[in-house]
Amino acid sequence: MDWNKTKTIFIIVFLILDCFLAYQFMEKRNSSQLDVILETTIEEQLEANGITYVELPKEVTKAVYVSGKGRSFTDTDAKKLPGQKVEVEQKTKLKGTFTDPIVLNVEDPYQLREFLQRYILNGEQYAFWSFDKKEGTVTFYQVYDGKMIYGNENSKLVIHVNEQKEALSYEQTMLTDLEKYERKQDIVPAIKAIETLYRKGYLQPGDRVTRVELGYYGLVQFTASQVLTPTWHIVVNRKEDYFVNAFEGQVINDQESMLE
Amino acid sequence: MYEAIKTVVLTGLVLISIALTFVLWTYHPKYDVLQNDEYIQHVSVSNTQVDTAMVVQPKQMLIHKNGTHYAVAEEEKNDVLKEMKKWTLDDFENISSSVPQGKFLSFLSGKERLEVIYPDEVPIDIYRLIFTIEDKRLDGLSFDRILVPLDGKDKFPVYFIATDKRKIYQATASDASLSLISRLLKETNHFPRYFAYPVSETEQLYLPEKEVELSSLQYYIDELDVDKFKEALFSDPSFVKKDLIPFGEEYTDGSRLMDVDFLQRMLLYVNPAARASNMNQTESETHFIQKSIDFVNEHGGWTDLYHFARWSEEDRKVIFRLVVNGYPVFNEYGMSEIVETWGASDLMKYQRPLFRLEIADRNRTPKTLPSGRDIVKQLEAMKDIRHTLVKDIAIGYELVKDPEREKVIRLEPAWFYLYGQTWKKVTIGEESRGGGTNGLE
Repeated sequence: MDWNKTKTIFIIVFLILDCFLAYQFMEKRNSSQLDVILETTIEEQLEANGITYVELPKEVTKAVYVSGKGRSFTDTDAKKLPGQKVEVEQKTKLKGTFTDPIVLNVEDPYQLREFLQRYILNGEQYAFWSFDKKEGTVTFYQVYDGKMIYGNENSKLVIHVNEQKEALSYEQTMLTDLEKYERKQDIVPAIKAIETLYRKGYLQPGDRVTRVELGYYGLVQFTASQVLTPTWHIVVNRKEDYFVNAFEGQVINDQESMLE
Repeated sequence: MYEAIKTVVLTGLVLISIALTFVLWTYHPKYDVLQNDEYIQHVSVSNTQVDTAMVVQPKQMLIHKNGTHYAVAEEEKNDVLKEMKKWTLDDFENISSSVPQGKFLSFLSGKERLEVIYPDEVPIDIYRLIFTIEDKRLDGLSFDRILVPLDGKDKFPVYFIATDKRKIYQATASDASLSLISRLLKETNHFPRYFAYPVSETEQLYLPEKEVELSSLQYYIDELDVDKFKEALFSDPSFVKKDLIPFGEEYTDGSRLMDVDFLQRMLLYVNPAARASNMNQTESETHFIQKSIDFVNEHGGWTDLYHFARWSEEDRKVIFRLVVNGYPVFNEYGMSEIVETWGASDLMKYQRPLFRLEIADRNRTPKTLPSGRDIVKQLEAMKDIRHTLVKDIAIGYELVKDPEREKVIRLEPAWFYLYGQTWKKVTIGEESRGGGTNGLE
């Protein structure tokens, strides 16, 4: 037996073996890295589906419940208002009719604010919500602590306008004695709220979340007062409004809207 | 020369193959440390943890002064208990026989004294966890009242009384201070006056002389997560099968059952296997009242304020009752109770509400309840009850679901009486004519 030849064979054999082992090793390493990659974040999932969103508010992490009562309007309230005829309906609803139509430019926030301050009782507490061209109504909701109280019949201002965008009459309800509860609680982050919408199928590939803001939504109506819960207001493609309870994380459905 | 190179190459290749084999066997990818809490098997419905002294609370605390009775207000109650906790109680002595027949109620004549009344007899083992009791004997004793004469200095007798069993034990408190209680004694005119109403030869109740102002309350409730209870109550939740039943859900793993009642928002858990026949458990075992408290603590089930209400030695059953603003809450379906029944060593039955009082309505509707005297008159005038079965009379709230709003419950203040084993509402004049429901099963 020739030891020199054996060595040559051994070298070839070990070379093959080493190549095989090296291949095995690479294989093992790659597969384990793949496992890690499989778990993607919601941000990545949204990106993969082409869903984009505006910069999300991150500074607020805690919020509180707020309670309030429907304000009872009196005749003295009504007398203070200029250029209109005012009547109180069922104590909590103020109905005003302008003696002369007043120009109302929905696009101009400055003019809107001026109009509210001048003609509407506590008008500075309301903010513009929507303008319905077909119905001829401009809707405002009350704002508390910088946050809007969405979809609430008890804190709403509806102005009826004619085709020339002139205010003819309005109906107003208002919440008063608004007070925060003491217990501060963590809110779900805005991205979680978007995730909920995505998982429930409200967000389609290619959609854009155009607005995310924190406000309030009516949670429960007690005999005299009602409780508002912090709520994310999420606008998709500038036209669809969604509300997500910021404490419990569920989507508030318009069909079974929580408070009338 | 050529051969020498080949040797070196071969040696090198052999070493590389050894190294590769070793690396291949021992290779572990570096994963980040899991920071997701969900992987930790510790289920908690709420973060609340309670201790025995928080749950086993007196239902009443009175100061007797010159034949008049004053009820200690809620805030001061806790201060008094704190002071009592510091006393060292020792040398218990049975003095029941020295009290003559018929004198049980007045065996301490006319002195100034403090009386602490518990809702049921509390075993001495539980008292050991609340107060400082040095005496090591006293096995199997339980008491429902503690009486403290208020004329001692730092060493004075304390009486432990079991009214039903007609037993009085005298203990000695040492290293004890009565400063706070003596201060309250001087301020008794702040406290409402109560009168004594005997219900049996050994027991009298204390009821308010005057009408009581109390508000109707409303709460928005938060539903507790059924899945968390499933994970807490079943040893292997992945084996649990879920079935839909009318107005509820049923979970079972073959040996245990958990029923969820959506109508009353109640949970019932049954583990029949725990009903083992060997009831001769060792005496050193933790008392099952304490086990009941620990059990609920384990899954964070003390979601609201619950106080020990009653227990039964024979049935091995403990009842805890919801307490709001210091008043007990009653409901005919048990929506305000946590009930636990124990087998030899394990929990056999666990019944509890599946909701928590989340948000209180700020606007309260005040209501005036009749005085204790009026209620006693009214009860005595009731012809369809056996008056010897009336064991207790108390003010509390009745828990009712709001008929219109799904997640709202109301707490209506009312008078209640314990009739045999069940609390019933005392219906007042026009209410009973209106045909209101009054049976609290």
